[in-house]
Amino acid sequence: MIPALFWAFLSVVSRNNFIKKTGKCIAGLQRICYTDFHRINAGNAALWGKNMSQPVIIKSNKYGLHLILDQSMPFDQLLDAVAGKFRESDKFFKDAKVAVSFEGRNLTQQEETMLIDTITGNTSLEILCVIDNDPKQEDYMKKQIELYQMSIQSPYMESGTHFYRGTLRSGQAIESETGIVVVGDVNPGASVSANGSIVILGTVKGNVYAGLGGDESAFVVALDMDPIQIRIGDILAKSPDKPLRRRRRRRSTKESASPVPQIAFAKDGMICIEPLSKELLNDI
Amino acid sequence: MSEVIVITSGKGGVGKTTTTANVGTGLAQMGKKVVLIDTDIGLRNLDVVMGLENRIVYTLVDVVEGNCRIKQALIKDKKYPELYLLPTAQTRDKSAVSPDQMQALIDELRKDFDYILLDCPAGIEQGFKNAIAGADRALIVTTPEVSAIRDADRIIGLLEANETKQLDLIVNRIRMDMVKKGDMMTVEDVREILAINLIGAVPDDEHVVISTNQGEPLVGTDCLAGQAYQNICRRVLGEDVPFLNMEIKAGVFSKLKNLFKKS
Amino acid sequence: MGLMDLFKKRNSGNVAKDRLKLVLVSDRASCSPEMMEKIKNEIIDVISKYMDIDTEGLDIQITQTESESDNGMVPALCASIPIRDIRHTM
Repeated sequence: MIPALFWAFLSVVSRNNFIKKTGKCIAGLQRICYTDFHRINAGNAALWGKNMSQPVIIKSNKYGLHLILDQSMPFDQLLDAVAGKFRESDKFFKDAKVAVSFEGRNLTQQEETMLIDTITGNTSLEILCVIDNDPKQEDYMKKQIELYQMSIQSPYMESGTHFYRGTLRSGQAIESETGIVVVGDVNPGASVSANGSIVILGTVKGNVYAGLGGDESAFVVALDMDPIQIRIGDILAKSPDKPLRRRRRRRSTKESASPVPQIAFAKDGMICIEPLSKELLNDI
Repeated sequence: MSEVIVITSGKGGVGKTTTTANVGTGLAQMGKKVVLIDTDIGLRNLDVVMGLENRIVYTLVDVVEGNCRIKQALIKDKKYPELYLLPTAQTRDKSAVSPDQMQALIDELRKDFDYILLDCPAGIEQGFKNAIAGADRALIVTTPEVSAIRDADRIIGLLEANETKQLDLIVNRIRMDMVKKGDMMTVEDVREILAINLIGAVPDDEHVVISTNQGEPLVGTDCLAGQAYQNICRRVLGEDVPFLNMEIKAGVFSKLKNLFKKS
Repeated sequence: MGLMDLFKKRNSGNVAKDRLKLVLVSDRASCSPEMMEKIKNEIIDVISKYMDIDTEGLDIQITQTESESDNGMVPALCASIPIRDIRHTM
C-alpha cells in the first residue's frame, strides 16, 4: 500500500544507477536524514544571503537537496553554474545518498537527466531519485516517509515487542510494556507478563498475563498451550483442578506427534482457547 | 486460643511439605480452622502438594509488601472450607521478608485461625529464621538416616535457643522391612538420640507419592501413612493415641515365609 | 563386649546409631575456631608463667570420653602441650 502510493509521487529518472524499487529508494531516503544535514544548511544559508541573483541555489531539506534554478539563463550556462557550485560543495556532500528536487524552471525530461548527470559527474553524491516540487505532494510524501520510518522502527505487530530466547524456568519472570515473543518454553512457576500480546513459540506450562493494563484485545498464542494460569486484561482463568484432563491431553499430544498451536483471547468476560486458524486471526 | 506450629527439619527432602499438607488437612478434618503458610520463598511447593497451584494470585510477599490484604492472598482449599493456604512468591528470595514482618503477619492471622502451620525451608539461614520467628511449637521432621538426624539435632539446638516452647519429633519414611533386618534405625533409636518427645512415626508409603502427584493430601485415608498422619493430628490436639503398628498387611505368601523364619 | 555385640555390629542400623552418637557429641560441644584460638592463647599465657613450652607443637581439641558416672560419652577438652623446660625462676 505505502510503496504503491509513494511511487506516484516519484519521477524516477531512468539512469542505471538509479534505484527503481520504491522500497530501496525510501530506505535510501531515510539514510539521508543522517547525513551532514546541518552543515549543508549552514553553508547554503551563507550563499543565499550573499547573492540573490545567483543562477543556482542549493538548499537542503530532510530528504535531500533542493535546487532553485534561474529562470531566464540559457540552459547550458545554467548547467555550467550548477557544475561549478557542486564542485565547490563536493567536500560538504562527500558520498551522501540524496533525493533531488528542482524549482524555478520547467525542465524537460532530457534537461533533468543532464542536470543529474552534471551533479553526479562533479561530486561523489549518489542521487536516488528526483522529487517533483509541489508543496501538496511534498506534505503527502513526507507523511508517507514518516509512516514508513515508523514501520521500520517497529517491524513487528506491536511497536517495541520484546524477544526472549530460551526456556523460562520456575522462578523466572519476564515483563514488557508492550508485547513479548518467547522462543522457548515457559515452565511451571515461570511467568510472562505484558501490556500487549504474548506469543510463545514453545510450550506454556507456567503463567501468562497478557494485556496487563486491562487491554482485553490482547491475546496469547502458544505452540502448546497448557498454562497453570492465564490472564487477559482483568479476566483470570486457571487450569482445571483435576489433573486428569491434563494428563489425557498430554497423552493425546504424544499420539499426534506435535501439539496444535492455540490462541487464547478474551470474549464476553471469558477466556477462550482455540486452535489457531486463519479465520480466527482475521477476527482479532 | 490459636497455636502457631512450624514444621522444620534442617535437611531438605525429608517430608516437611508433605507433613505440613497432611497435618494441616487433618486438623481441618477435625473441624479446626487452619491456615498453612509456605515460607520457602523462591522455592514454593506447598501449593502443588495441596493441589492449589492454579489459584495463586497474591503471595506472602505481596501481603508483607502491602500490595494486597491478607484475605486476598489466602486460598481456600478445594475440600475443606476451613482450610486456607497462604502461598509464597516464586520469583523472589528469602530476603524479601524479615522475621519481624513474619511475626506481624502471624499475629494478624491468629485472630482468625485455630492453627497456623508454617512450612519451613531447608537450611538454617534467613528463611528458617523467618519461619521460626513467631512459632509457639515445632514439629521436627526427620528420616532414620544419619544425615537427616544430625541436621535435626542442629535444628533442635537452634529452636531451643529461640525459646520455642514445645518441640515434637516426627520420624518419617520408616521402612519396616529394613528395620526388621536391622538395616534401618528404629523410631526408638532416633527418639533416643534426639531426646525430644515423639509425636508420630510415618511409614514409607507409596500412597504418599500418589497423593502428591494428585495434589490431594492422604491424611485419614485407608493407608498406613494416612492413618499415621491422622494420629499425629490427634496428638497435636492433645489426645493420647497409641502408636500405629506399621507392619505392612502382609500377603499370604509372606506370612507363610515369616512363619518358617520364626520356627 | 560379647559375641552378640560382634554380631550386632553387622547391622548397618546399629552402625549408623553409633556413628551418629559420636558425631552429635562433637557437634553439640563444638565451638567456633576463633574461640578455640582464644582458649589456646590463654592456655599458653598461663602455662608460660611456670614452664617453657613449645607453642608450635601445642594442640587442643574437643573430643569425647567415657563418662565416669556412666551416661555414655561426654565431650572433653584435650590439650597436648610439649614442655621444653620447667622454669625454676619462680
